[in-house]
Amino acid sequence: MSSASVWRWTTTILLSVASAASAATVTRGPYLQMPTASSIIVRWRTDVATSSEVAYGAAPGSLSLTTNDGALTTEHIVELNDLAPDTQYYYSVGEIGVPIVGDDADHRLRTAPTTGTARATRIWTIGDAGFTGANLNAVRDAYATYAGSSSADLFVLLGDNAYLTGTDAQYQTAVFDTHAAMLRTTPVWSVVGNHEAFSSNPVTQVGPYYDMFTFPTAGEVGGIASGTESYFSFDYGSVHFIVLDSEQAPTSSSTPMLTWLEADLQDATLNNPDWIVALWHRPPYSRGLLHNSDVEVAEINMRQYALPILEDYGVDVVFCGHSHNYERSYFLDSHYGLAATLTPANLVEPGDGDPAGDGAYRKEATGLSPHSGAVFVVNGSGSEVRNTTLNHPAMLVGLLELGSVIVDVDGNTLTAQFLNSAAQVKDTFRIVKGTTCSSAPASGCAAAPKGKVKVRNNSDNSKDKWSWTWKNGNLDGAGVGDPAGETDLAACLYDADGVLVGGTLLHGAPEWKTFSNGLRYTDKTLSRHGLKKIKLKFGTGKGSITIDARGAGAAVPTLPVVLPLTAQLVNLDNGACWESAFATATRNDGEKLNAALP
Amino acid sequence: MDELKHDAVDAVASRPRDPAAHLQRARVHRLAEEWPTALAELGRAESLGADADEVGALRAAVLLDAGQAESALREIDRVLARRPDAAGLRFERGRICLALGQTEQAAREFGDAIAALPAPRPEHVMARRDALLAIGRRADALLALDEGMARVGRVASLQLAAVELEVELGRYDGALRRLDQLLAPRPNPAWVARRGDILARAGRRDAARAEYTRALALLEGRSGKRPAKGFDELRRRLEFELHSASTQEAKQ
Repeated sequence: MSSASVWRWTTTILLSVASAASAATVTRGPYLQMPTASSIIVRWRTDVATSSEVAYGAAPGSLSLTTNDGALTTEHIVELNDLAPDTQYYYSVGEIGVPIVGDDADHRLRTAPTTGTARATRIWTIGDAGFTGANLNAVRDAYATYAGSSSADLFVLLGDNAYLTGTDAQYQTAVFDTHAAMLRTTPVWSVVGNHEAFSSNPVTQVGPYYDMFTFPTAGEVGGIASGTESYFSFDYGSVHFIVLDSEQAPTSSSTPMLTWLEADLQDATLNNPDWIVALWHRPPYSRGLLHNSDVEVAEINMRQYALPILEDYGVDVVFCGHSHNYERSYFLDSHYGLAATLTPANLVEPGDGDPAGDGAYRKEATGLSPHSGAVFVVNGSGSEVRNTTLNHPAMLVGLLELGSVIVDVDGNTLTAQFLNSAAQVKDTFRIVKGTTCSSAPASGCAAAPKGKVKVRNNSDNSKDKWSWTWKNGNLDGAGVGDPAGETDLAACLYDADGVLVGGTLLHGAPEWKTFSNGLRYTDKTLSRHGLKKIKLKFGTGKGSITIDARGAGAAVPTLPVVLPLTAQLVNLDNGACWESAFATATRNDGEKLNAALP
Repeated sequence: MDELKHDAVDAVASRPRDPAAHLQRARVHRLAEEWPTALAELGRAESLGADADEVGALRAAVLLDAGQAESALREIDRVLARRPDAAGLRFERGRICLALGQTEQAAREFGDAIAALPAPRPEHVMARRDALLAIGRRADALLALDEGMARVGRVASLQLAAVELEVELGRYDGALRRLDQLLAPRPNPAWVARRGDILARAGRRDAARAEYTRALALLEGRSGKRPAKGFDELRRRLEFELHSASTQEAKQ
């Protein structure tokens, strides 16, 4: 049902407290949809037709606002408006003047943050979770165990949500009964899967799937109007989500869905969200049992026609289902052919993206960054696992385990974890954007007996400079890694208030050269954070680090600084780090900062 | 698919006299592209008292998929005679007409379906446009897009298609007005550049240059951020267009 058909509602201050009990029973929901910074839709079903009313307020027992409609129905759709952004409300649902359920701690909703606000956001996503029973319950309960009292902000269903044919009755048990607690507090989004298409016609948009969910058709939750509930986009904080319909997969690059997709991405690019996350059912890369992305036409078409557009505009992560397993790709770009055509050039980074493994994947730019790598996840083991080879070469991880995926977005960091049905995290990848230093120094870094820091702040910024030397310490090549190859390094200087100067040097910079017992980086153009020279001399007790940056790009702050001072070099992939900590300075005024060890 | 087949087989085994079980099995065989088996199951469902309209609609779809468009047409017409209000079937009839080469009739069926469907998709509207274009009726195709947008909303996928048709018909002001409607809420540089292209094609070079400059300014408003590939190409093209215009002006 499109939002256009949502009835008109009026919000009034509640003048009287209901006294009579309703004869109706809530048989589905309540469940939440289409959250924006100022509105949300509350839906529920009753066994007999009644009027509709949502009472809401800041705390249980004080639901002082209501939105209602007098028309009698069993399918209740109430849109709450004029809400405050990123704000929690408690609510009840019922007929006018007669609440049926709610007004307690379990019936609460939170509006979305204002679009563009980088608020920490959690998304819980399950795929092919349509078989009811012990498996599905275990996956659900594992998330509850893992998350504890911290709610998800969004609940995403990746299609095939109710087996076998997505009927209303099957949805009742697999989705609305199984996830009742999640649904009454967390807005739900979904993509259409092949089993939904068995009972709901994606061509005519008629059937239980389209009846039970309210999705945007006119850009109501961000993005531009698609004109259909089968594909659309929405914003949540600093994330732009794109939902595509792989049941009506494009057969050329100019279908209405792809024309809309490009226009939507152009619009997103101008708004510059921090992240783009795409969702659909049939995966572009998979070797699931009976679902081979080299064979199934819809998968091939999504890969061939939709992926180039998404990557042109900087998609970060794609979540799909369909194969009843978990598969997770390398950090990929521009792989649009069959599996055998994958080459090393398609791997933006060959590592695993795990902060505890090879280190996070990194993108130089904040915001959207085209063709800078994306991770593709097949999250289809929500209620069943099917034994298969999982040997698609684009996939780094393949697991035959029941589970779900938790996505945490926090500023310039996106972390996704596969949580199995025993509440164990079995895969993690992280994408970090930007090249700024972390907000606080790393801990456990190796010190050296000698060190020196100099910072010069000139009225002419082009004459600014800073340098750090670390001398007579232990520095080895294994710890430093291969910055010309895969290693990301950070060179940063902190005072008591945080970062002063420096930044991240992403892997692969051609300015790195080796010499007999070390590495040297030389960039006369000062293109990265004003860094002109980094010299790393390996040795035990004789190792040294020399860093020299200058010019406006060095972004030297106003002096003096607040001591103590910490200078660090950090291998962002393996966590090794080296530092000089200065409790005092020999000079710390408006022009110069000098500090030395011992 | 195997799972669906097992489920359908089990359902028929446990409820052999239940027409719904046979209908379900027919649907599964259709998905598996097993046309004769699907048609046989539909026959059984019908003989057991399944809803004749449901059986007929599904049989028509199976026949169309199986390449038997004439039989599909006869079947769907039988259903439509009883259910003339079934908009989904009306669209299906359009597809059958297309398969039979009756393109003009297909366009009519699509139009009727779009008018009657509770929530038509942009794809429906484009199907009607394509049918009309296939028989050379560009002005009617443009009208079809407008009628479709009256139902679906002024979505970019349809409005941009209408822009291109306006240009093909030489109606440059109409094309510009449509782009203005798209641009009103959102200043997309690609659409501003398209305005420039249309103005240039209409011989309004100064106005075209102004639009190219505006598009470039919108792109540069994103300075410091790595450009999307599509926007990067657009930027280069705009710079080329503006350079060409300056060169021409200097020659004159």
